[in-house]
Amino acid sequence: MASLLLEHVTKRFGGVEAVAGLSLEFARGRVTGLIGPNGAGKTTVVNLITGMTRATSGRIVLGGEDLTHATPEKCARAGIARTFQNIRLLREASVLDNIVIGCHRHERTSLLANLLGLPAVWHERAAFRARARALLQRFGMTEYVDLPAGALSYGHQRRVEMMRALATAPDYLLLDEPVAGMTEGEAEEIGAIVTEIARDGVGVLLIEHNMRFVMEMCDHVYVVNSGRLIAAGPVAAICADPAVIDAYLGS
Amino acid sequence: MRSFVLTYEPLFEIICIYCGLAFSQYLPLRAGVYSLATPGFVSIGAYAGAYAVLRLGLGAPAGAALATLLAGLVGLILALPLARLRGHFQTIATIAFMEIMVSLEFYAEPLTGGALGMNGIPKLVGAWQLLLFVVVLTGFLAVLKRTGIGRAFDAIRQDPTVARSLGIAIGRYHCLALALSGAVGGLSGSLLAYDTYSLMPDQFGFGMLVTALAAVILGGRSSVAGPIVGTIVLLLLPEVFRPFAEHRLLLQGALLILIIIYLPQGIVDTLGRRIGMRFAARRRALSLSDPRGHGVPAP
Amino acid sequence: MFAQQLLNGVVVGAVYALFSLGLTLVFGVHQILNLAHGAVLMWGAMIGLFIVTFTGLPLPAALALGMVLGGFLSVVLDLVAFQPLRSRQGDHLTTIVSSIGANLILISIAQRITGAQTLSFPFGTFPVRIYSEFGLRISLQQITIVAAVAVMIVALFLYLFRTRMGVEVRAVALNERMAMLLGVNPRFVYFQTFFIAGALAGAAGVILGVAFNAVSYQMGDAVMLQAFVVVVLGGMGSVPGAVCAGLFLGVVQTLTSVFISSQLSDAILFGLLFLLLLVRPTGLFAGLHAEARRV
Repeated sequence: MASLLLEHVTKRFGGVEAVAGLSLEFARGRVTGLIGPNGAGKTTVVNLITGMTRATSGRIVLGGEDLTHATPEKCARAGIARTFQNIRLLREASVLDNIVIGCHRHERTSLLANLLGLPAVWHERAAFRARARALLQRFGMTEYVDLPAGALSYGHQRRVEMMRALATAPDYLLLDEPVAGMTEGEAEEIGAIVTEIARDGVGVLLIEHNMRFVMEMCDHVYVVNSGRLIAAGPVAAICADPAVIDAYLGS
Repeated sequence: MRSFVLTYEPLFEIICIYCGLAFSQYLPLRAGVYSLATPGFVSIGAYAGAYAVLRLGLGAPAGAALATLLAGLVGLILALPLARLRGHFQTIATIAFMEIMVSLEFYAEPLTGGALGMNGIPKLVGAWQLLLFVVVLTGFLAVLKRTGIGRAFDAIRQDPTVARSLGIAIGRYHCLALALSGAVGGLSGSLLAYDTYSLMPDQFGFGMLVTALAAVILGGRSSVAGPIVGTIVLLLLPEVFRPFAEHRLLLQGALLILIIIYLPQGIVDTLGRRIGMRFAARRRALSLSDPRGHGVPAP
Repeated sequence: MFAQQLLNGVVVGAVYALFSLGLTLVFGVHQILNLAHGAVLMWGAMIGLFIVTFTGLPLPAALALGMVLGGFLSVVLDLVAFQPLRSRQGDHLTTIVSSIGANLILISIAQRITGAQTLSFPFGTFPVRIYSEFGLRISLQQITIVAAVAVMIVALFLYLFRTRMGVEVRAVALNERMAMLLGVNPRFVYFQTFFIAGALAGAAGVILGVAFNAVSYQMGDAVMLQAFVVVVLGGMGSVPGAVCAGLFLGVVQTLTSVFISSQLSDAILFGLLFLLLLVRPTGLFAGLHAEARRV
C-alpha cells in the first residue's frame, strides 16, 4: 500500500521558518507519532498535509498523487481526515448531525435529486445516519445522539470530532492531541479505538504531549524541534536519544 | 364574514408574497453567504413577469417561470464575484447590486417604463394560488434542509474550515445558495407584479431590503418556519397596533435593534431551542436510568 | 469648462473624503460597518441649520457645534447599537442589522421634525463672493470648504500618528485583544473613534447643507453610496486612501454627471464599486488593519 510522503517540505511565514526541510513518511496500518516541544511546527505539518496551508517548497505525495498544492477539499477527497487541536464542532447541531456531515465525501446523489427530494436522497440519508449511530455505539456514546454538540463535556466533544473524522472513511487520520485533557481511563479507551483503526488499515498520524500515550500507541515516532527533524525511529530509541532529551529539557 | 375576507384578502396576499421575499433572504444566510441582494432579484422577477404578460402576451405561469429562471441565473452569475469576498465586503457588493438594479430600472425606459414604472398589470393571482405558493416553498425548503445540500449549508455557515476539511466545496454551495435565492426572489417578484397593479423602481430599494431582512431576523434564521413567522408578525403589527402604522420607520428600526440584541436567534429558533432542550433532557434522563434500553432500570 | 468641472469635483470630493474618513476609521479599527453614519451627517446638518436659524450664532460656531454634537451622537450610537453586541460572538450581519435599525430611527425622527420638507439656511449665511483666477470661477465658499477640510484632515493625521491616544487607536486596529493586554482601554478607544467619525460627519453635513443650501432628512443616505466607494477604493482604515479616493470620486462623479448623464451617474458609481470589489477589494492603500484583512 502506498504511503503518505513529505519530501523536504519547508513552510515560511514571513521571516519565520515554521517547518524546514522536513521529510516524513506515514504508512497505512501503522500509528506514527509526531512529537516535539511547543511551537515545533507539528500543527503546521498537519495543516500542510490537509491543504490548509501551502508549502513554500518541497512535495507532499500520496500514493503517486501530488498533493503539494491541493486544496483542503481535494485532500479530503484523497482520503485524508483530521481532528483539530482546539475542538471544532458545529456547536448548534446535534451530535448525530455532526458525525453525519463527515459522510459528505461519500454522497452519490445528484444535485437535482437533492433539490427534488427524490427517494434516493432519503435512502442515502438513512445510510449515513446508520453509519453515524454505529460509530456512536463503538465509542459508547449512543445516548448522546440528539444532544447539541456544544452541551457535551470536553472529553466527549473530542470523541465526537474523532467520530466525524472516521465517518469520512479515511485512508489517513491525523489526530492533533486527541487525548489532551482526558483522564487515564478515557485515554485508554481512545487508545484502544485508535489501535483498532490502524489495524483496519488506516494510517494514523498522532500528535501528542502525553508521552505515555505515545509510547503505548506508536510503532514509529518522529521528533521535531523548531521545524526540523531531530530524531526518528522506534519509541524506545527515541526516549534514549540525547538530542530529544535536550530539546525537551533544554541545556 | 364575507366583509372580513374582502377586507383582509389583500393583506393576506401581500403576506404570502413577502414570505417569498423572506425566504429569498433566508437562503443565502443559511449557507453563510452575507447577501442582501434579495430586492434586486425581486425587481428582476417583477419586471420580467410584467413584461412577459404585457409585452410578450404570455400567461402568468409562463411569465412566472421566465422570471424565476432569469433571476436565478442572475443569482448564479452574482455568486462568481461574491466568492472572492468575505463578510462585510460581500454585503457591500450585494447592496451595490441592489442599487444598480434600481438605477437600471429607472434608466431602461423602453423595457421598464423608467420613472413612471409599469402600469396596468392584470391581477393574475389570488389568495389560493399565493397560499399554495407559500406551502410549496415551505415544503421545498424543509426537504432541502434534510438533504446533503442542507447539511453542507449548515456546515459551511457554522465553520467553513471544518467544512473544507471534510471535502465540501464551499464555492459551489455558495453559487447554489445565491441561485436559489435569486430563483425564489424572482418568483416572488413575478407574483408581486401579478398581484399589484403597477411597479416602480424605487419600491425595490432599501425599504424592501429592510422588510425582508427584518422578517428573517425577527422570525429566525435557522428553522424554515422562522421567515414565515417573522413576515406575519412584521406585516400584522401595523394592522394590530395603530401606533406602529403611524411611526412605522421608527418602530421597525427599534425592533431591529431590540431583536438583534435581546433575541438574536429570532422568535421561532429561541422557542424551538427551549422546547428542544426540555425534550432532550427528558430523554436523556430516561435513557441514562435505563442504559440497555430493555425497560429495566439499572441497579 | 473641463477645468472648471475638475475644480468643482475636487471641492465635492473633499467633502466626500471628510465624510468617508469617519466611516473608514470605524471600519478599519473596529471592523464595524456603520450604515447609520449617513444619519450622523444629516443630523450634523440639521444641528448647524437650527443653530444658525434660531440662535443667530455665526456659521463657524454652528460648524463647531455641529461637529461636537455629531461626535456625541455617534458615541451614543455606538453605545446603543454596537456595544451590546460586542461581548457576543456574532457574525458580520449583527452589527449591520443593528446599524440599519439605528439609521431608521434617526431618519424617522428627523423626518418628523422637518415634516419631510427640505429646509434652507437663511439668506446671507455665507457671503457670496466669486473670484476669477486662471480663467476659472472660484467662489469663496469653495476655498473655505477645501481649507476647512484640509485643516481637519491634517489634524486627524497628527492625532493618529503623533499622539499617544492615536497610537492606542492604531494598536486596537491591529489587534484589539493584544492591545488590551498591553494596557490600552478599549472603551476609551471606541469613544475616540466614534467621536471623531461623528465629528467629521457632522462637519461634512454642515458643509453640504450650506453649499447646496438644502437640508433634508434623506441627505445622509444619498451620500452613503459615495462613502462605500471611497472606503473600498481607498482601503479599509486608510486615511491617505480615503482622501485620495474621495477626491478621485468627487471628480469622476462631477465629470460623469455633466458630460454623460446625471441619471446614470449613480449606476456608474455602483458599477465602479462592484468592479472594485471584484478586482481589488483591498483598495489602493494598506490601511490600519492591513495584515489581518488578508483572506
